[in-house]
Amino acid sequence: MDVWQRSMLEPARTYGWAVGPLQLWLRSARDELQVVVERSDETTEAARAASLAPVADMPIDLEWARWIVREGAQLQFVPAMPDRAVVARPESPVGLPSGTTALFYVSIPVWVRLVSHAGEPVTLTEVPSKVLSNIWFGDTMTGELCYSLTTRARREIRETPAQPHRAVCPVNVRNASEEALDIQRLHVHTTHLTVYRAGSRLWTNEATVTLHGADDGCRAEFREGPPRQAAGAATVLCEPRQRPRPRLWGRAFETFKSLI
Amino acid sequence: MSILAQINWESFVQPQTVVRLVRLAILLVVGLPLAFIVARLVGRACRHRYSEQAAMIMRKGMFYTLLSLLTVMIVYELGFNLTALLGAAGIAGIAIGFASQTSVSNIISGMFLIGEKPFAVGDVIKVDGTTGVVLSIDLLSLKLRTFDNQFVRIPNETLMKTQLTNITRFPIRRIDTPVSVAYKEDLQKVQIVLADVARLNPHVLDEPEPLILLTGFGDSGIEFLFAVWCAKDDFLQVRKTLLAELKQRFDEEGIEIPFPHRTFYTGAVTQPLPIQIVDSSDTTTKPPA
Repeated sequence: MDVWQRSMLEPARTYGWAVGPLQLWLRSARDELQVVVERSDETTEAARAASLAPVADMPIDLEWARWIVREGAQLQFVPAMPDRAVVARPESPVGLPSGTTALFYVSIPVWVRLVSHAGEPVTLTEVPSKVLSNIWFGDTMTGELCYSLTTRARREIRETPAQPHRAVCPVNVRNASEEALDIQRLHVHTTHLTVYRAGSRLWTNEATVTLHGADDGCRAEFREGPPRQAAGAATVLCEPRQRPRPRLWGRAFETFKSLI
Repeated sequence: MSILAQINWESFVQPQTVVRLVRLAILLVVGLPLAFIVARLVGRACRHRYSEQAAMIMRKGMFYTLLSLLTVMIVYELGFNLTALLGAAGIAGIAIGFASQTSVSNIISGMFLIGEKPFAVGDVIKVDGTTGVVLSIDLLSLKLRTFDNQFVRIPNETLMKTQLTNITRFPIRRIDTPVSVAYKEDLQKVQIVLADVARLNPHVLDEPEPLILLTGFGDSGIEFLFAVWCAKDDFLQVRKTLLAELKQRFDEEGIEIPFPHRTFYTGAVTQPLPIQIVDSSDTTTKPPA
């Protein structure tokens, strides 16, 4: 069964749902939904995808969170992008000569939204599939609070295994400046990304960052539609949190000038 | 004949008196509300362009200016000699000026503070040993709320003369924690453990990277500076959790945090120190063993 499809919960039964390291335990009362969040080690549970199913046992001593829902509402789990930008690092700094473009694949843990469907869909809550560490992108006086990705930005998609709790964002980095640059970090505005499913993998739309010089800033653009790398028909699972503005200027990635 | 009958009422109902009274009424009925409305509009316009405190200053300034103008117009309508009044006001002004030096100094200091913007409403600042959240920046003084919920009023003049620290001016802050470990500990292991504790706390920023610095050889142990960065909103959370996590991890790794102690020895090769036990209830003393 699809982990992202809608389901109906029978009252007074306990259900389990899991994707990657995130495990949810759910119970439905008359007009109330109770949820417990549990996380395990990502290295051992990276490939886990368990759709909503009744369970006989569940861990005790966990704290239940409760929401009021309409009676007879269906529940759906939706993969969303994190609520902040993320910073990923390539395995090692990559030198990018003037006029060239490099493609990176950034694997981003999704936020799982619990959506109640009874008429209009209502988002009850969202929880990160993996708790990410904070990172500051900028200097000590100005900048942006982001999430730090522990996985590296890869050059080949085959180096990024398909994991049910991660969406892959293809990022094109274009050097339109006069000098060569070293790419040490990628700063991805995930709030502008749409989540697609194509085959067994979650994808986001492509992002392109064009650098016009270390002092001239850069421009980030987000291509509409599923990425070209996504094989097969792609379906939209979650719209972006914010629509990107036509031109998004900013320091999309940190660079270090180097001479070749 | 009653006093009322003795009054020449015709002098009060002369046309020019009636006109004057009507003008006075118009000034009061229209002028006062108009002053309020204009002042509020000015304040609202300034709030969008400038800070809250600048908007407040502009609003109050506009209101009192219009009120002064209204007062002059009313005084003129009542038939008083403005020249004489201004002359008297000038003399009174000198006396008032001497008496209100401090207030005027506070007002001028307030204007400079608003222009300089060393802090804004909502910032946490430390002034003269008092730390608190800025509630408002007024013409004469600054109002703070301390963390134990006390109200503190600080004259603007004081702010201009003393050192002021804006704790929340920048978006991230560093938490410096001195850590001491026993001399017997492996320094490399200690540094690895400290870095791991910082890495595992999700509120501690990965970048700027935590700073782990060997600062000296203390009386009781080797001293480190363990400095981590966090978003200013997470400061209390990190402060609360980091030390507990550090202690727990040190216990798990068997790293000793020394307590202050002194070691006595009489030289490179020592004999046991003689100890004499004295029992206060017993008048005889026992010889050393």
